[in-house]
Amino acid sequence: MKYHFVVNGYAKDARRQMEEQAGFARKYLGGLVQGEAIIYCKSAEDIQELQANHAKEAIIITGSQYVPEAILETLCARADSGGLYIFGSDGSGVELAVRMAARLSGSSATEVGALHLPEKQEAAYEICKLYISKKVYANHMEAVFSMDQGPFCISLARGVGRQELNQGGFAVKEEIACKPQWEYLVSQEFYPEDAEVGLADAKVILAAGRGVNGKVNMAVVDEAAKHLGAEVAVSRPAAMNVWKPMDRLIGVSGVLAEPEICITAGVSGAAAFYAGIEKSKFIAAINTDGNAPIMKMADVAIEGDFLPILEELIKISK
Amino acid sequence: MKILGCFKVVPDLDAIVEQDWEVENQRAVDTGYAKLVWNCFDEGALEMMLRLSEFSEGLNVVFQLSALTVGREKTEGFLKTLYALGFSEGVRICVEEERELLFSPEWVSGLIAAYVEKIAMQDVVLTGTQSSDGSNQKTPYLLAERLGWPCISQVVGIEPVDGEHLKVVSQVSGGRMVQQVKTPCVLAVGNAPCAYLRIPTLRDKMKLGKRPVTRFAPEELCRDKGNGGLQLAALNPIDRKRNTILIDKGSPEENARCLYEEYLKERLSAL
Repeated sequence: MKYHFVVNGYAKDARRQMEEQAGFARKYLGGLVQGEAIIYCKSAEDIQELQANHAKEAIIITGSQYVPEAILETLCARADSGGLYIFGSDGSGVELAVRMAARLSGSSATEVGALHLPEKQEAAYEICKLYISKKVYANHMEAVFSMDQGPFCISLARGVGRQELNQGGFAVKEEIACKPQWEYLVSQEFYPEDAEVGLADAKVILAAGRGVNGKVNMAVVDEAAKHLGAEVAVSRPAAMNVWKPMDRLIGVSGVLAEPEICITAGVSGAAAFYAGIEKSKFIAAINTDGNAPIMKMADVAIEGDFLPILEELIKISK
Repeated sequence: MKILGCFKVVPDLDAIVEQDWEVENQRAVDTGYAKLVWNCFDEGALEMMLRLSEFSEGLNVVFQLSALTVGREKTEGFLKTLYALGFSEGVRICVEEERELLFSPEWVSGLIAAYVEKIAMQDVVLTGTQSSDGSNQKTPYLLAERLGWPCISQVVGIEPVDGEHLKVVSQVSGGRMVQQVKTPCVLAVGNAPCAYLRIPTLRDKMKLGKRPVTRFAPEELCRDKGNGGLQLAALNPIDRKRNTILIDKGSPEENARCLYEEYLKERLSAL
């Protein structure tokens, strides 16, 4: 069995995705043969500018616009029916992995955190069944699935361990231009985000949950964050109430952060939220409910109202 | 323009008692006692459909909104809420055993595709990108493949253009993509800003919410229950507990001072 990385070269975080793919292969794919990487992007120069690679050779699929239908057509035409295709952790990786497997009668799995080869090691080229692990039930449980139809198409879970990339660009084996016109697509324009919210790389995070109970109290959270040098994050209920915009959402469907310090205020600690902070080096929780799950998943906890505590922290850190 | 919103009603997973998550090697968790809620991404998709319909006033385009769910009889209350909000058709594909649906996106997408192809052709199908329980993240993409339609993922907004086109805003790495697309298409809704579904008035509930739901047995639509080569082998709990130290110095101010002096100050200055 050969494995191939499939990289979204349109994405701003292509390097991070490549690092995650390399880290995943190092941890779980020992003994398998690596095939060429497949990179879809605007132009080959975009990806070669990174001056980094995680495969010796690459096939580059280019298109001036990101059209999944176009990429799928090219991907499927060249797929190896017994191969393992490892897509990135972004939305594009999820979509393409699922649709590629569906078109080729293969099997797919999304947000894969680990892969296990059969215990009785068959010769690498004979492997026709894999086991993968992923989080389900909004991060409450880990499920193990078997995959037994090739090609095996998986997208990685965000935050899998990274590995440094090799220096230098890819040796381009082939460059394929996508079909340029698609009847369904009349126009496409990309608007970059105005300001980058630095949650993913923040050293200190102050996370607010449903218990903050309104936009007015969010002002205290903002003020405390300013004094502590923290980025403000919110749980899904807080984001859905528009106490902060969706780009401040932390958890399974938002940012997965790895800060040195995370302070939570009015957060119950639902598993879907906790996924966003579980890699924090130190967690301090403030919650009125001593039985809330967060009170067992933090390093230190205070049972009480967050307002006087944050107000005091503002005074001290002034 | 005919638009179908496909949604899942899920158990409120925050209400599941801790012990129920802690059983090794099980095939499903007993969530039957938890209250049912809209799957959050699907809720955003349904609200998006209502807003689209409002935007269209003055465009001379009629948007006919339908909703479909696959699930238990209890989910019909949710379809009746949608009737009260102005949806013209509510469909339930009757599957009483939740476990059958949990990791079966191939079957679910097959049922939806069969409804669209055999019963009521649509111009657009909206779904959320994933459900909170199964977390498969497959249904909209498999549906697009079955129908042979294009798909736009991580959708956060839609606006009408004319009877055959929509303006679709989606979230992509580093920004937003705005596309004008020709129907038919599948739209997979992500973190939409309009995340909550509006609440119908009592009057609309009385007037519109009592219409019967259209029901189908799964066998009428799709007999193929193939799993796409993916088979659940085990479900295991995740231990996230840390050795928590409880700060209890008396007043909130004293607790805050203890938190800062003993646990934060040094860590903050080391950054």
